[in-house]
Amino acid sequence: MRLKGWRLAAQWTALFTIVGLLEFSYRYLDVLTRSGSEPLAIKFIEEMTGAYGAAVLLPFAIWVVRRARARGVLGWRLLLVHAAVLPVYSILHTTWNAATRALVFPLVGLGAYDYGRMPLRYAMEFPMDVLGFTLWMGLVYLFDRYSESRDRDVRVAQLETELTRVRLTALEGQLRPHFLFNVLNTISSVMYEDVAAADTMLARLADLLRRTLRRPSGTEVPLAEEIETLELYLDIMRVRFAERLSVAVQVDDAVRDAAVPALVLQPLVENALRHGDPGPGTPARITVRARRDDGRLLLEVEDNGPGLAGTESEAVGKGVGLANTARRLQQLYGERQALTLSNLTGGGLRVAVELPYHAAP
Amino acid sequence: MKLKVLIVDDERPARTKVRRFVTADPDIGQIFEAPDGVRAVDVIREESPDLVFLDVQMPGLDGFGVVEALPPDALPHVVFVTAFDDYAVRAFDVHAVDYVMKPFDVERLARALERAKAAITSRRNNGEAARVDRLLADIRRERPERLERLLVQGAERSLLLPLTRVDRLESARNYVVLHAGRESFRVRSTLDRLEQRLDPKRFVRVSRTAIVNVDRVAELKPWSHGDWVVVLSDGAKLRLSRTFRDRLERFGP
Repeated sequence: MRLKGWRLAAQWTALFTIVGLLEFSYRYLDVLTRSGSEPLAIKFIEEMTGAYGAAVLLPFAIWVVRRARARGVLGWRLLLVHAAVLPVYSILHTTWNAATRALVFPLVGLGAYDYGRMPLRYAMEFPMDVLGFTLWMGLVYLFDRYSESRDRDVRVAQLETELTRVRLTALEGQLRPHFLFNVLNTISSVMYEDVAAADTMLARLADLLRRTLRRPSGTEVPLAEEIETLELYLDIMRVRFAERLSVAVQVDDAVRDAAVPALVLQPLVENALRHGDPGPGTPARITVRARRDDGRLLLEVEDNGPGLAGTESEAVGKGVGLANTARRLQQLYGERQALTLSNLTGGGLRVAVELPYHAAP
Repeated sequence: MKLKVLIVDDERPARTKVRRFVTADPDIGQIFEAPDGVRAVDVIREESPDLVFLDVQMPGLDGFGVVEALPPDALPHVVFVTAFDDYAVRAFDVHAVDYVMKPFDVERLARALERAKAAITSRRNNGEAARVDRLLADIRRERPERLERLLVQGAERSLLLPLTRVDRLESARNYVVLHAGRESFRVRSTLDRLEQRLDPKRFVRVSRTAIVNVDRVAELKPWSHGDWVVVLSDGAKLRLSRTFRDRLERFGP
């Protein structure tokens, strides 16, 4: 960041050095054309101090205008801001010229500098500054507009990539080879004992796959639908881990049509199943809750496992599902969401998701 | 002589399926089941079965962890059972260790069973243990994972000790002693081997014979000859030798 600041300052200085040299060459040729005898050093110092004055003062003007734009000042009101900054800029610029030249001239042995009658100087320099100022601020405006639109493009592209990735991960989550082959193995085991139960499992698996494959492009679904998908997944897991797993889903009727990100719950439950193992002999108990608290929707998944040993960010990083969920929530709701992990007093972990409450369309 | 078989899988239906298939074989005697790695280790220690069908992916202690937890002479013939693990399957092939992929049919399991019986009767078990050892070394190298819990022998049965509870580890001949509060546990391993699998952010080697949990370090005191002394919050003092000084340096400002 610091390095970048220095580089920017160096580039800015180089730019205005070129501007100063261009102006000097104009004045120099002007003198040559008239076969004049004015010392070139005077022209050189005059043009360079003028250019560096602009280099020093313009950043302040740019800062003021950018601040105004950031606060939503646009159109003719933005023009007014420019019009208010311009005279200040011009007066400071002329003052800068007088002061720096008065300082530099004696130093290089040219004696005292005579800038003439100052009130007239201010008036004389003003039209020049109008041109310079307009040109520079116009360039800054174009540059800002360009980088803003580029940022916007990048952000849109990022969102699209993220959405595609989420869809793929969701697909992977359910089609995760491990999950799929294990379910197939369970079915092939259950089949020997209970053909009807094996049949039901096949139907659940098919439903789950179908839902994932035909998921609409929308990012939010009603909570009721999300719970249905979760139940399909849980039905399968209950057969696989009958004696070791008990899951309770407690959803307030009032929030059944709340909008939630598609597939927000399953990764949380999967995570609880994977890391929330309470150890030998104790069945895993997972509780899923959804309720409304004023304008917020609260989703909670609790397990009775060992809880959290490291820091929260470590834990989110480790559960790939959680990291994905956190990033998705951030992109969908910005700062209006929260994903928090906390150890329960009786042991176990609670993952809580807080969203702005709104009804699904 | 009838063979004792242990079936390890975290899913009951999956265990039942293996049981159903092996029961049909007249050479099979007692059949045990274990729903997780820790209990599998206990059953193997107590019953010393001849053959184990071992699921690879289980919560807590996985199939590889079970094999690792056992001394080589206590290792029965193992048939790994896995649902999907490209890497492990390649490793199984390379080291000619027997495995079965889920879902499997009765013939595939029968084949594994025949191979196992042949190996057991011809007492080629030593070669098998060495193969499994090389397999594990391979898998740990390819998929290094930070240990979070370590299987130790409790008073009555095995337990998975969360490493956050461990204050320090010290080597004692062929063993490593883990100190956790007032308790201490012996595991058959070396400090070098454990050090590689511990989280370097949490555990630091302070000398050839000791590793400490950095959360428990109370202070560092200079000692003689450039050595230091690490004082833990429970009062235990350990020498920090010069050679290992740099391991602590990354915690410096």
